[in-house]
Amino acid sequence: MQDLIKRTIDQIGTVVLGKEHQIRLALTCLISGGHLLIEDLPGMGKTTLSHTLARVLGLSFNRIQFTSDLLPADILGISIYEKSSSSFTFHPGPIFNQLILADEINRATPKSQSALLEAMEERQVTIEGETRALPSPFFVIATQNPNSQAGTFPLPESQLDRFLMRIGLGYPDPASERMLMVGEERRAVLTRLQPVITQTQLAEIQHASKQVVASDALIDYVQRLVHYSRVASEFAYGLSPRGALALLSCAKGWALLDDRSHVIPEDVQAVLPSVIGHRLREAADFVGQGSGALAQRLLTRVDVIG
Amino acid sequence: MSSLSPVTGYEIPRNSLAWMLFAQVAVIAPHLVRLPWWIIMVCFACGFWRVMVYQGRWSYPPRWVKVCFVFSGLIGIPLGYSKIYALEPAIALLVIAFVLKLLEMHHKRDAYIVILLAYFVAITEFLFFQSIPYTLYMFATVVMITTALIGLHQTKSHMKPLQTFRTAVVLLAQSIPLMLVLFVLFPRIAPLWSVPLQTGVAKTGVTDVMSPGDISSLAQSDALAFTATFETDPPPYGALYWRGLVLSEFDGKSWSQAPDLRRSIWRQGEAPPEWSNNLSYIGKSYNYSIIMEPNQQSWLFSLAMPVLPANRDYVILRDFRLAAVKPVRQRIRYALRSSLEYRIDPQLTNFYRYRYTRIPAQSNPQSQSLAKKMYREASSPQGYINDVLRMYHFEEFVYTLKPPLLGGESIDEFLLQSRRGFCEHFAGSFVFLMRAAGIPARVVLGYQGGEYNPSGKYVAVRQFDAHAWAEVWLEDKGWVRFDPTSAVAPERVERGLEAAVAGENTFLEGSPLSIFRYRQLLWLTELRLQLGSIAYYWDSWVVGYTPDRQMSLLSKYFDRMNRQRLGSIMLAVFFTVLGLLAVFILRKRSRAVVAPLDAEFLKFCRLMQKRGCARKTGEGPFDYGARLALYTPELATEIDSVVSEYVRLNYSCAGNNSAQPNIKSLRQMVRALKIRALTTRV
Repeated sequence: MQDLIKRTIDQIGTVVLGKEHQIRLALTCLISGGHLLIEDLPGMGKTTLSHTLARVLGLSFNRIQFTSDLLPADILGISIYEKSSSSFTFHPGPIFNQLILADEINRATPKSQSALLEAMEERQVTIEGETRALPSPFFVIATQNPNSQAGTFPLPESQLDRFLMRIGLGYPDPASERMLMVGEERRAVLTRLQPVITQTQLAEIQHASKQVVASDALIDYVQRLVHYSRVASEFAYGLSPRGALALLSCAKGWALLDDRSHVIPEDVQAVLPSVIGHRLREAADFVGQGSGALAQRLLTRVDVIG
Repeated sequence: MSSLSPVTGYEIPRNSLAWMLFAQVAVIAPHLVRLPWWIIMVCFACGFWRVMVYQGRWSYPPRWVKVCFVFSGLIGIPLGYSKIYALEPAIALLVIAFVLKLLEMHHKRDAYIVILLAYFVAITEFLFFQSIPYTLYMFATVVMITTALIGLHQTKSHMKPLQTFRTAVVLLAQSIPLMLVLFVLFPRIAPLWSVPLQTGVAKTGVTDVMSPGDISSLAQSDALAFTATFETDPPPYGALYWRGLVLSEFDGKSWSQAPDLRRSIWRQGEAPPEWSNNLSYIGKSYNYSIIMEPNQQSWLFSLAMPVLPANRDYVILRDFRLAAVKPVRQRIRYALRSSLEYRIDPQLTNFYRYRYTRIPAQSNPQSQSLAKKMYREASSPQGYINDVLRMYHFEEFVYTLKPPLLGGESIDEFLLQSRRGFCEHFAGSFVFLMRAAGIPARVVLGYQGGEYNPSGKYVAVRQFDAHAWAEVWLEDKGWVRFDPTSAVAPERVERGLEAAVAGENTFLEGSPLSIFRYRQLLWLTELRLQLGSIAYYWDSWVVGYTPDRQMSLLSKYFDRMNRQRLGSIMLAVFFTVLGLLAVFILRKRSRAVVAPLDAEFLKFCRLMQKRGCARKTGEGPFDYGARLALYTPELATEIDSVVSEYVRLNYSCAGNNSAQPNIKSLRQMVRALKIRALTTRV
């Protein structure tokens, strides 16, 4: 299994250059069964990363470009009257795929956003009174531009909370960027990629991730982190129990990627900024949606040893 | 269940009740000999009633029964004792209140009262006994009472009395260091009031009147009279004459002390009386201290002749013997110096010459004429004395513990008819013969000999060492000691009473169980000596740890120690300890207790911090280990093993908080790292 994981990471690395940490985070998010939000400036490789993930994991893939005039039906699908059969036939929307790339999710209106987000949470959609299950596994990778950009509808906290992780990609290091310029076009590489993991293997990995041991000492540490976020004055509000669970399951996934059968504090620390960044808000910042500074504060103020 | 109190519904836990009853029996048992029989009956009745109540067969006694009990106790105790304001009736009252409270345990607080009373009754035992066995017994009872106290705080479902007992033992064992510190350091304050102690304790020991038969009855007792500890080797056995009383008055039958003894005393810090010049010491002197058992009298024993003691409680009387200002009511200890060679009263005034030659004119006429006849035949007083001693030796005098009863003219009868006697017969008749011939003489009462305990380096003098001898005044020589007993039975003086009466098997005849009768069993003697020296140290250091002793001990270690300083030091220590405890408790509340595993890892962190690379807050063990490996590459392997072991123990298995992980391996690794760190110090 470790071999498999390593090959997956390497394979993705051939397309997304010099971003191993982000690749690992994204994989952690997916094997923990959560949805991923990638937030960065346009052109940083958000779409490429999600494409690559879909291909390498061998999942059926569709992309929804969110715009301000996107309607819920454009996401979920619609029933159309068929003359031949004289009845309404349901035409499933792009959401009926295993991996959805919701591009620039914050450019759509809240109504369309919530159509997606409900599907994310329930893993089923109800259209015209009929409930339809979504395929399994079901992942949503959403990308968004920073909120300061023009023409965005920021996601409310409750909807941000649906994403297990929020990651940023950041500028590539010079060596990777050079390779990007010198080498083959990434899109071409992407199209040649073969799936590394079958869906059964993915399910096995997901199962293994849940089996990773978290000792009492580690849970104590997670609890201290959560507690600190709730009592310290710099936090506008603390982490929810869902946030704590998210932290623990991501740490387990990270430990599995690191070939360990138990979680260590470093695992928690590695995933912590991505897991809690979008769930917390600084007390001094009334509109902001979390910040890296808060995660750093948690990491440096809460000791590993109680 | 009717064992629930009808008043409150409180039921004392079974564990506690059982131990409470045990403790009660144990606490009252030593007092049984002092309590009237009816109080003992009440004790049993109350205990039985309480058990029945617990079993649910009987109910708590109604109010009128309790009132009857209380009033019968209040009336019965004054009736049963002649003196009300004494120790025994007070203890009887305490005991009866203690057992009656058993029947009234409606609340938890009542149980507390019973337990506190038990502690109190246990303490009263010390008023009567202070020996080691009793102290150990006291400890055992205190453990039982504490067990009951712990049991009171356990749930009713707690059914393991031995476990509770173990907790109590551990609890009390932990308090022993504190107990020792308090014992040594706590300022000893004189009691605020005093109770008449040890009333009715038989007075044993020599008395101030000697009549034939007194000492021979004393010789049946092996009770300890006093112990003497010498700084150097003790004098030989034959020189151990412990001078106690000087008897100068003879009424025809018994000898007694001069009535004007205390008219003139020689005391430290006061102008010495004129007669103090009549004493001169010659030759070697011995330093020693004596621990004397209480004898309710005011004379003390010393080797002749004592130097005036520094303590103002002890004085020297006109006949150059030591006496206490107050009667010896409890065990006392006094330090002395004595010179075995001395000269006292080289000249005698007419008054004393008259006093020490006075005998009733009509008493014992045959002896008087015998004395006059022998004196005429002898050339000098010294020659006369030798003649008399020779008479004792060569004529058929017998040294025996069973002398026949003598009639009115006791000296005549003894010298001329029975000729069987004990030391008082020989000393008395000897002095009488001297006086009848006009030579000043007096009887000295005290002890002779004593058993040297080599392991304790002290001489134990027992009642059967009591002895009487004579002092005769010779021109220019002063008072000279003569022991007529040695003329008859020299082994009495050289080897002790047992050897002297070996032929007639009368030694300690009245006490067949006395360990002293079996001196021929060597191991028994050895054991007895060992036990004796333990008891001696106990008496001199624990029971005899008086305020003076405490001060002198502490002065050895601290400069200028006095009671005020000791008190303030104790208070300072007390409040410092309390303050530290408070800080500790507050810190403990604000910070979780560090698990042993984490403590070990933190030790490692401190070690590395000393080397210059501290762990940051929130830094995980692996991250820290990696940073350390860069910082001190020479220790990289050790650091890696410590970190891996810590992570393995702390994080690799779920639920390791409940089951304490075995941290031995980690400890060893940290130790190895420490050693390596020391050897690779740059």
